Amino acid sequence: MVFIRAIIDSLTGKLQPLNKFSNQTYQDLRILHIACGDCNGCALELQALKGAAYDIQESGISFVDHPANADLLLISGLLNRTMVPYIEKNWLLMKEPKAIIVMGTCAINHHIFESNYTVCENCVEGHECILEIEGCPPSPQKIMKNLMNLELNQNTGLFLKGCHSSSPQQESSGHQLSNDDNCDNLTV
Amino acid sequence: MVDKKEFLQRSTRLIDCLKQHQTDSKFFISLSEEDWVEMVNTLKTDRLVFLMMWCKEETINILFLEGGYKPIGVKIPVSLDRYLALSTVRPAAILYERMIWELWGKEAMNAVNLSPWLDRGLWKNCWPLSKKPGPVLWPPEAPEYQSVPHLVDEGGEISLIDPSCSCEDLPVLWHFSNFGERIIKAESIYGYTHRGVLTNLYNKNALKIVPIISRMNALDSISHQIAFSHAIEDIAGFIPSLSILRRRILFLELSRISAYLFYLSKLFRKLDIVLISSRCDLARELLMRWNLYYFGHRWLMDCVFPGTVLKDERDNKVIQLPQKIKYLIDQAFKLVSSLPGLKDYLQNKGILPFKKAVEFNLGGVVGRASGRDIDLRRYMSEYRLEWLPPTNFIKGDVDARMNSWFVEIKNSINIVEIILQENDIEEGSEEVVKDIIIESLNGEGIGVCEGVQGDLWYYVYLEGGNIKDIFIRDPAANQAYILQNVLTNESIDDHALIQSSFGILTTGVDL
Repeated sequence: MVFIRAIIDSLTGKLQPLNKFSNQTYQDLRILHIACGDCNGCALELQALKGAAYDIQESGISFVDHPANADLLLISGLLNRTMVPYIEKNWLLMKEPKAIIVMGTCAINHHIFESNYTVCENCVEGHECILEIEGCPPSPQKIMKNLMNLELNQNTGLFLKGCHSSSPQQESSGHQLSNDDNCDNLTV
Repeated sequence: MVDKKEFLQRSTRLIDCLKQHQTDSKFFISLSEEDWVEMVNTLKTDRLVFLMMWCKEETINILFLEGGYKPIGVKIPVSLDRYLALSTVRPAAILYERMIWELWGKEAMNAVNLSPWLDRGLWKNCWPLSKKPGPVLWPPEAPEYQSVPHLVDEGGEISLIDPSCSCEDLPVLWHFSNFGERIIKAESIYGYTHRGVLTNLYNKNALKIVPIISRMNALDSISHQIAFSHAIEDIAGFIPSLSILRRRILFLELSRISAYLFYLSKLFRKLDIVLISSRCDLARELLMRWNLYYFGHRWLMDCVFPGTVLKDERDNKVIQLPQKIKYLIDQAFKLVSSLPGLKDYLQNKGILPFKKAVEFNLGGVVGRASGRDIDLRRYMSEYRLEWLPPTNFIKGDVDARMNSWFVEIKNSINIVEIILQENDIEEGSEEVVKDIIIESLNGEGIGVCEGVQGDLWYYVYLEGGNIKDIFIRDPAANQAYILQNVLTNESIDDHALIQSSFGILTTGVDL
């Protein structure tokens, strides 16, 4: 009976293959968010994503609060000297494969702010930085669209951009608001 | 029995004494060191309200509020980088003295507390806003905690919340000393989102810094824009037209609704009541999309400028708020009222006494829920008094703050609807277009706005349209300080709940 149940589950998509990098059965992308010197706009848009309006956790992306559980490190806001040691600490605690996402224009290129005694001259960059989400702050729709395009390559262990195909589960993931920015489509 | 007339005379004595001094500028009176010592002694028995203080070269600028709303300032000289502390008689000055010490290197003698408020071990000996700033330390020194003596020996514990692992909450380091579940001492360490915005504002054209002002605090962006614009208009002696003022109220109330819905959603998420938090989330998201559709920005950033406001993005006029928003808020409120045990659970948790709210000059929902009926919108000429009913909460607990948010959301919706209706009627009237020429402005101005956290003040000094001095009094700073006291003797499990009920965002504290 157990075997029959397992076969049915694997056919209906309830049972997922083992991820050889994380040794977990689920395929979620797990993100650790660290806010640096931001205006809280990016951080609050991320919280909106987690809320009932988008419920991103149902779409295969989850936010975690410990680096050991995270695949991706999401950094928002101006990179300030006070937070650099914490970013380094969390980055070292993350398991491979891992990558960085930068969110918000001020994190990407300082936007209208200048470097000073607390804001670093350099921004987060390098080959670990696989995605930059522009906007001041980027809307939840834009963040979601960018994050949904990320996928972990099972063979190379690298994160890929733009090859994600939405599964039936994602399509019926309870997005209670339309993803269109247009106010005419405001339906609950 | 004290004679009322005599009592009033006594209470305003310090103001009368101050006014006898020669005024140095529009708001400030220069005092000698001896006068300042005398004034600090007199303040022990006087009711003059402290607002904010900062440093400008070799003087300390201190603003007080006459009658609770009219700013009056004193300038005191600093000799050998020292001045007599104000925190001994006005606890609300503690934070500002700490900031002045770590940013400008001017030490307050006899200060209650001079530990760093924003510095996390980076510029301990170099004072970045002083005349000769030195290089920052690297790596930063570890923070020093105020430990309770013999805590661990007696069976107590120390727990820490890392600023990078606070998940939903923004970067703050929390250091708790607790016996079992009971918190003996809570210490919050801010400064992790400090961006040094003041240095980004100095010597810039007042118009060009409006985008930075918009991004001081995303949730309270409109209040910052309005307070800054008020300060510039104060310098220019400019009175905006009625339609501009009304449009500002519209923006301000929309941002208030959005912020309070966010706070409520967060509070109910901490309580694991998804039924209510989901309704708040949806209502807020609808409102933000509505903002984007009509005003071009979800957070209403870059919408208010000195002397003017952004007009409608679309040709079709704003007519009314979507009914769905009101429906969702009503549903959330009904659920709160009907949920068994919720009120009992939230009552008597995280009590902020009225006395403390007065001591630290706390306004906003936090102050009003403790019975301090202060709302600076009553002094803003664009508001009508009948729009702003008095508050009825006195307990100062989580329940009072939560209910206060609901009451104020409903009130803000009413104001928005009245303005939208009146806009309809006034549309036909033509207005004379007036401009402010920023480059011609010289002098100082003060602007105020009742933001989502309370009264937000801007002091701006311009020379040829360029910012020569600026300081911002964000109400979140003192609220963050007092939250440490409120958490004492509460259960460690309720920490997140009580913190959510204050609705403090780090950006408002750190700047």
